[in-house]
Amino acid sequence: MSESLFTNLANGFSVAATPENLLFGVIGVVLGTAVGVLPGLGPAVAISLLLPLTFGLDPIAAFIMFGGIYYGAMFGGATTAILVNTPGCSSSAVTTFDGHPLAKQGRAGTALSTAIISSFVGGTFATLALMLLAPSLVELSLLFGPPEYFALMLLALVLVSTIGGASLSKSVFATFLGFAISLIGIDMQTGVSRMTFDIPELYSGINVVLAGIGLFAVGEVLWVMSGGGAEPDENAGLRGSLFLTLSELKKSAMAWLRGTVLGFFAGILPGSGGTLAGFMAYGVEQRFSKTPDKFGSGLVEGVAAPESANNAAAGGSMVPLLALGIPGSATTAVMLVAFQIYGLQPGPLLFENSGDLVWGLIASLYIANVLLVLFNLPLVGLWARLLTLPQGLLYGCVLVFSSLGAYSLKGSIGDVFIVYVLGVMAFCMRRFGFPVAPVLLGIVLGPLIEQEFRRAMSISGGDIMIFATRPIALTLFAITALSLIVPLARKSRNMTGLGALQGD
Amino acid sequence: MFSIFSGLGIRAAVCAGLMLAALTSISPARAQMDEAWRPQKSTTLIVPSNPGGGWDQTARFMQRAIEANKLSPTSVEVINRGGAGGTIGLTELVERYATDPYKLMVSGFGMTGSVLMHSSKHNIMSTTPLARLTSEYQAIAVPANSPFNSLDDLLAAFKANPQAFSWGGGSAGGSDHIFAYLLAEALDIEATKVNYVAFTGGGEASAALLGGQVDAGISGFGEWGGLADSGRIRLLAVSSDQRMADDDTPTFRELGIDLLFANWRTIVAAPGITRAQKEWYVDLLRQARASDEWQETLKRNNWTDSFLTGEDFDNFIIADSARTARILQRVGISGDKGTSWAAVGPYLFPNIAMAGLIILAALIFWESRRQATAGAAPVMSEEKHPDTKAFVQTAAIIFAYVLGLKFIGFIFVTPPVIVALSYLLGSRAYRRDIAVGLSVTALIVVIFEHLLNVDVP
Repeated sequence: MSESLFTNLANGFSVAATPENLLFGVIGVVLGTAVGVLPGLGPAVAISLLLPLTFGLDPIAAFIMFGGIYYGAMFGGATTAILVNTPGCSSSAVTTFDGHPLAKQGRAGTALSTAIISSFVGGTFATLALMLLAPSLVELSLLFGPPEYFALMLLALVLVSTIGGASLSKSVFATFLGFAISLIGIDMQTGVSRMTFDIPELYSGINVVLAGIGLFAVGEVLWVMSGGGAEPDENAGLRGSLFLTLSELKKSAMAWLRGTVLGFFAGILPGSGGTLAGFMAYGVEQRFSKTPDKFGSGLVEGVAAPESANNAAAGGSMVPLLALGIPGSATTAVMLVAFQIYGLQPGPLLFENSGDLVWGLIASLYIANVLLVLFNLPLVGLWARLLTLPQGLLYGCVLVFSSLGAYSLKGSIGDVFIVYVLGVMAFCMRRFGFPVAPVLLGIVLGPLIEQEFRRAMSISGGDIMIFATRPIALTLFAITALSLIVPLARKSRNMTGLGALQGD
Repeated sequence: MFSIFSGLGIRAAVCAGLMLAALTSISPARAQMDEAWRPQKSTTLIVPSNPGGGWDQTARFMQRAIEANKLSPTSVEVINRGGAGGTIGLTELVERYATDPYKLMVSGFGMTGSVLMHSSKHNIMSTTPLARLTSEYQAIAVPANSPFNSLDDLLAAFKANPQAFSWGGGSAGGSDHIFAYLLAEALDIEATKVNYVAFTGGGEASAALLGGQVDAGISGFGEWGGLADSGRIRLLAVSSDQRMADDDTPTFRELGIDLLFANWRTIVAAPGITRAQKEWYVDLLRQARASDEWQETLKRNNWTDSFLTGEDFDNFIIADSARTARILQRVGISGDKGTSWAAVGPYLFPNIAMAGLIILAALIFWESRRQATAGAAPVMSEEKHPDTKAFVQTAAIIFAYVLGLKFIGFIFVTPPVIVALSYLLGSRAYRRDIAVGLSVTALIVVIFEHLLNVDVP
């Protein structure tokens, strides 16, 4: 088995690693990074825009390019998250927490290198797991029905509830705010519109991308313009090495391990995806850390965890796509169309019917990952130099790109307006000491929690006991309870004056 | 006419009526002008959904068929305009591109439900329908280990206790959902008792079916393809008139249930195009339909060729829309309140969120009061306080910007905004700022309009 696996992969590489294909891989990485940097434009958009251009290409060349775009966009999103506190795609939102403080300390280079290496580690190991475990993992993921998803989302919520700030009540308030925002729009189960106030722009809801642009990008522009940020000359310089110190590397290694495993599994489950993976990896990392209160002040592992997780999630989302033909994310949905255009039917028979292409695809994922590092690592210094631009111009451009990003989603000025309103909201929250990140968390998790709960209740015919009779769901609830109780117990044991300030 | 469109509103019906009138009458001057129309620039095919779904596939395969055979003298570009179930794209085509002959849009069965749910003032008849291209039939599937071996078994269980029988499919108001109600109607089961569990997309619904989470799944026949071939699911019945090619799944009619249903897809044009323009495009679609590429696409996706144009097609749309409107009204989607069955209604969670916000706000207020009375220093971040005046100025600039984008245009308002923001932060290097503003604007226009093919406002 392992021998044939090796032969298969070797075949895959021999198909994929031609100079021409490598060139398309590089083009993919460059385009992906560029698109990732622009807020609102994600890998799904980039691949669908490029689809017509690949009609004449060899399928492997197209796939290698798509792989490059996918991974490149993930990294591009991190770049702006670190440099200007503006995630280029929503899966990089968490990267702002520690990436941007690092940049403010003059260590933008370090943060960017960490992001690249983390992406590489996450992507490579996820591809490896995809290759080795896809068929069995898919069976595992099918055990997850609505009750299990609901339990998992609750766990995710508890895991990350600590992020973002001093006061627990304010964090929870922000999460609920995000939750309320996420419920705006037409209900998927019944088709009735909720909290839309008859404004047509609100019917389709405020999605994660819009929220990310508004809360982070526009909010940041307002914050900096109002003098709330650091002094302009303070964050301009680049100090120290572009690389990580040895102890940082050690801490990152563990973050990579945990982030990759977590991200990969989050990616396998259809519908959860990279944004959630990033949040969860960050929450878990904080829980394992010896210095959890330093998170948010510029820790390298705070960048390493979400960046490895979101790239691993990209790899994980290929599992249901290849093994069942089920796309679990917007990007894999577009890739499914690409597959079909090339006459491939992803699904249980894909490996038998078109083995060459699949192994070529897997090899091309590896290659795209390596190209990402080779291409972007030398450019880190250049990216970091963006910060030396005059702040007014830099943030003027952030505003313009954010507006265009919001507009380009549906071609609607209404969305630009929504994004600005969210930006003003984010500004006011920061002004009064409320953390902003939990709002995005609420928007990501809210619909999942609600829909899965209601689906589970429908399936059981209205019987709440469905949650108590399913082993996986029960286990997840138990872990959730534990992760709530353990920190509280620990806190009460070494109770200091700090507890009073925590506000719980 | 009016009764047919009762669910769509009188305005829409009038609009549709006017459209038909416009299509059938044509002034001589216009006819002369239109003689031998052919496109002079590239045609944009709008997909009113996000990449990946059936409309997106229709557009991309059609684009491929046209380009591969060089059927059009100019190129065809595909853009996605997702949102609001397709009504955003529809509104854009009808209002913004009202007479633009270079804008086409994919549409189909799903648009009717969206129009009703989103209270859109336009419907498919507000456009110029060119031709129906494909029909995809719905199939009922059960996992391989399901106790139901035939449709009779399954329907017996469904009839015995409808609420305890869960159907999985796509989101409310879509073809899977409507089909579930049509089936219930055919069996004389009250629509309000159907236990339909909506999933985000066909993919998630199939995963739920494979995992045995729902009793049966409803989806397009073609979407089950790979899973059915591998034996992981069993198809029990298909909603077509005759059995699908190379497949032994029985039709509902064979099994004694009078139920025909097709998720059809079409390409439409702007409402105000001329007859010659319409004819040119209909002819283009006719040629594309005959191409090897398109025929192969149909086969691969298990789509049925149901090419239909002209008055027959218009009549078909009107009749089909009426049936959808009737079902949606019955289950309360287009009415005032939902009457369809759901274990947990749509308002529980909004209420939880609102209650949580109020309780937490009270708690935070109480905390801050307690801190104030205890004389403790307020906990504030170390970052220095933002300046309220600067905030108001910036907010004014960005809201002026959004108005400018709407009424003046991106190219003209962007450089001043960049210069103004820079000025606010204390920059007095006007010449540099203006140069940067202009070049950034130019760069964006080049990148977005020409490389990414995304319009700027």
